Amino acid sequence: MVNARRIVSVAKAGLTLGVCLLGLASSTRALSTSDKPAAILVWPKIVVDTNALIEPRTTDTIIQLGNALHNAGLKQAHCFYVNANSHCSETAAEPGKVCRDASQCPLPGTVCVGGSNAGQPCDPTNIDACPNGACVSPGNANCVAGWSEVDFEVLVTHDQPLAWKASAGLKRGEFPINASGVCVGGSAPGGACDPRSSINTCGTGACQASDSNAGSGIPPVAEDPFVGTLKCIQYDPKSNPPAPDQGSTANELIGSASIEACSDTICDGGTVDVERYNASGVQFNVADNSHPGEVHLDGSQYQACPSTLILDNIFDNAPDPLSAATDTVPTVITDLTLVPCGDDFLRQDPGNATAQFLVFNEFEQRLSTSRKVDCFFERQLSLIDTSNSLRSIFSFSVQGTLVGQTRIRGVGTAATGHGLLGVARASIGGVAGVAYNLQQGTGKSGIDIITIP
Amino acid sequence: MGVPKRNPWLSSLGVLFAVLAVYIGQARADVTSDTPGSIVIYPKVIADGTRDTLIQLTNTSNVGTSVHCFYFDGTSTPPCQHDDFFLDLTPQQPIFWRASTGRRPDEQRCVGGTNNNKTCSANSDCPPTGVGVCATTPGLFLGLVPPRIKFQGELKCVQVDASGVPIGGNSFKGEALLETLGNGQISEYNAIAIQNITNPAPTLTCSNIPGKVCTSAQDCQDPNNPAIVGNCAIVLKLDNTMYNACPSELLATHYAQGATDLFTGATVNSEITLVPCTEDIENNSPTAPLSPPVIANVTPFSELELLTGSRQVAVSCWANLSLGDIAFGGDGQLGPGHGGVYDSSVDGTFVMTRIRTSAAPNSGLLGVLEEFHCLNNTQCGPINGGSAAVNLHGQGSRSASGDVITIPEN
Repeated sequence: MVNARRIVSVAKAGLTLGVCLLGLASSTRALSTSDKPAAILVWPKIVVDTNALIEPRTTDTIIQLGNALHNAGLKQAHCFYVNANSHCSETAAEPGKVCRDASQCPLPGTVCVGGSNAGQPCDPTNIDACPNGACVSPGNANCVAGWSEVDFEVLVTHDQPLAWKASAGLKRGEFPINASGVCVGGSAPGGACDPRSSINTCGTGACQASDSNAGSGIPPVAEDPFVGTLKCIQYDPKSNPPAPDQGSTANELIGSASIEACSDTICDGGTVDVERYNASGVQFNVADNSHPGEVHLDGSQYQACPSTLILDNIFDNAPDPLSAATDTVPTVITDLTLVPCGDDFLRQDPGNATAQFLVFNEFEQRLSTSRKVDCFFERQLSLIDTSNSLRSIFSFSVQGTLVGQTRIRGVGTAATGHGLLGVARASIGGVAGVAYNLQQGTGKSGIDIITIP
Repeated sequence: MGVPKRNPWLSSLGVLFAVLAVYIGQARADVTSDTPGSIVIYPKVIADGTRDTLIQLTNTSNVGTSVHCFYFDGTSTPPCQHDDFFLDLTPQQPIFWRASTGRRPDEQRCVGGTNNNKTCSANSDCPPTGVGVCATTPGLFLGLVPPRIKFQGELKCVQVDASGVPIGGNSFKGEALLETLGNGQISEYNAIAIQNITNPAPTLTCSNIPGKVCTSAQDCQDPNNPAIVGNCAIVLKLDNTMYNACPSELLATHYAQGATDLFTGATVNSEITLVPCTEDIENNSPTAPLSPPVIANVTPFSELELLTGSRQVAVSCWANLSLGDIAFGGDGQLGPGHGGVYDSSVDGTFVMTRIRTSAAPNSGLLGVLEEFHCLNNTQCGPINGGSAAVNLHGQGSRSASGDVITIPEN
């Protein structure tokens, strides 16, 4: 009996040591990553507004995608554009128009407000229509949040950088390597050819299959203006049916995005503002074929998402700390974008979670707030907790110090609603901006699942 | 009295767990720009009158801690001069300072007016009257950061205890915001963090006898020449055992030099800034921490997956490489149109750059990329271009390559 207890004790000690060390090791493990090749890439924010209808300037996003494999190896990216545009409701003057808030969805017609004709329809071109009153819109319709996805395939050859404009995409024939074969021997060695064609275009030579972008097609984003997310999962190009890459080179995608704007509408002068960030990556770990059609960000099959994101920010409305001599010191505004790690693309069920914000200033004073992240969250920091920017816990006037640390924790129960990923954009004086990756704590969120059609 | 019989299967299982755990921990250890660490590196800090840098440093832990920071001047004569300072941070505290001005706890600066951000002692120092205000920088700042003037280089901060000895904790993260003062254009990147894996404190080692552990300078008497006594310095090993190792290769995709921006039509020029992982701050070599310097093999691949030539560039303690400086073609001329590396007329619009170091003197490299988009094509750079910075990607691990940071005993 004594021996049995000791045996169990020794075993427990061994197991406990192992489990403890496992926990320790886990704590030093990478979760998501923005500076290493990975199997899943997430660009949290893609913005297109080539006519400056919503954005203050003409804006587009240049997306870069690379295959980090060296010298050999074709990789396939199965990608999803998530359209997070909101649209004006049916009662609006322009139903279906892309909007960011209800103020962009006025009701049709105009009515008198105040004066003797109050409440009566009026003609805004008639200055006498509303004696002692004003002829204005009767109010706003709703700006209804939306979510839809479009998926596509991209083949990327080894060492290859691919890039495209989100507003335009890349059509067949516009990729760098369009031919799927190369002539060997004959009169035109090295020439492009199609190995599947019954017609030999290599003369006396032969057409040998080679890595190429053939079969790829990148659509333009679904709308202009557009705001949303891009997610790409590395697939095995030889798999039939197509399936996520679970081989020894499953972490080979790198990506970045540049959100670009021109101060002049047609970019023929003035300045260019470029905000570039790296795509967030989630690395593949261990093959698991027990749930086809799903990728599990659980720390086992793929790395888990972080439980905490960390944002260092200059508090909103703070004076530019670097500004040179000016009569009016420009102020800093930071915009935060968050997206859930999980998404159900099969059932068109977007991920959602609650983001808990803890805000620390230089005095280590802590304030907190929270907001729902439903598919896609984008907000100026100082408008997260209030509609009055100057009263926000993210405001310089409230915090009293220039910089702060914001810790963001995703809370949720659904398989698509635990972890969060995101990116921050800071602008100074509304003229120049930067985008930068959020950092993360060492803890893991719960299991997040991406379900693929 | 019976001898307890151990079940070899069960105890082996525990050992297996332990080994597996250590293996996983080591396999995943790597330098990162998105997780806090115990060494924080800002590869590109500029305060040269044209540009300035806002440094942000944050203690992400729930305990107060300290850092020992070093500025490395990449353009000084002799090169690579360093200055150091200590800072204390309270739990979860974010702090900042300007590279050009440094920061001290009681500093007063103009807010607004024509002397905005300059030191002052009264509102009259901040004209015009009624616009500028002289005020103490709000916040809590426990330390003193020296100002940098005509500075281009690196900032490196090491987490230390109250006595200045490096410790683990992985508490720090940071960002650098570069601003061109003339046009207000800004770039920002995350500081690169190296995580500590094994605490206790790193070992003290003799500066003159490689690998000899010491407790004071007395232990560092040269056995062959007792008149020579070395220093007992702190050696931080980036070996995936003490600290995370540097990547074996750096990667980036970017516009070819002189390429045309897909959206704006601007001309795009880029710079890559590199710093070595190994730095001997203790011995402060008169020419460089590493002499001769590290040789970086810079290899670009075009959109056609073609290697369009490679170049070797020297990195002593800091190198800020305009791709135009690397891009000389067969005719010996720099820049676009000469058929060289990074020539957009050869490479196409986009390039993937891979950077590795060659054989000894060997050190890993870390870095950032900054690009400038100019509608005016003349000498496109920070003065006349919109700018953006991004962290380079890292691949592989140099755990067995012996990268070390040697810092003076406090």
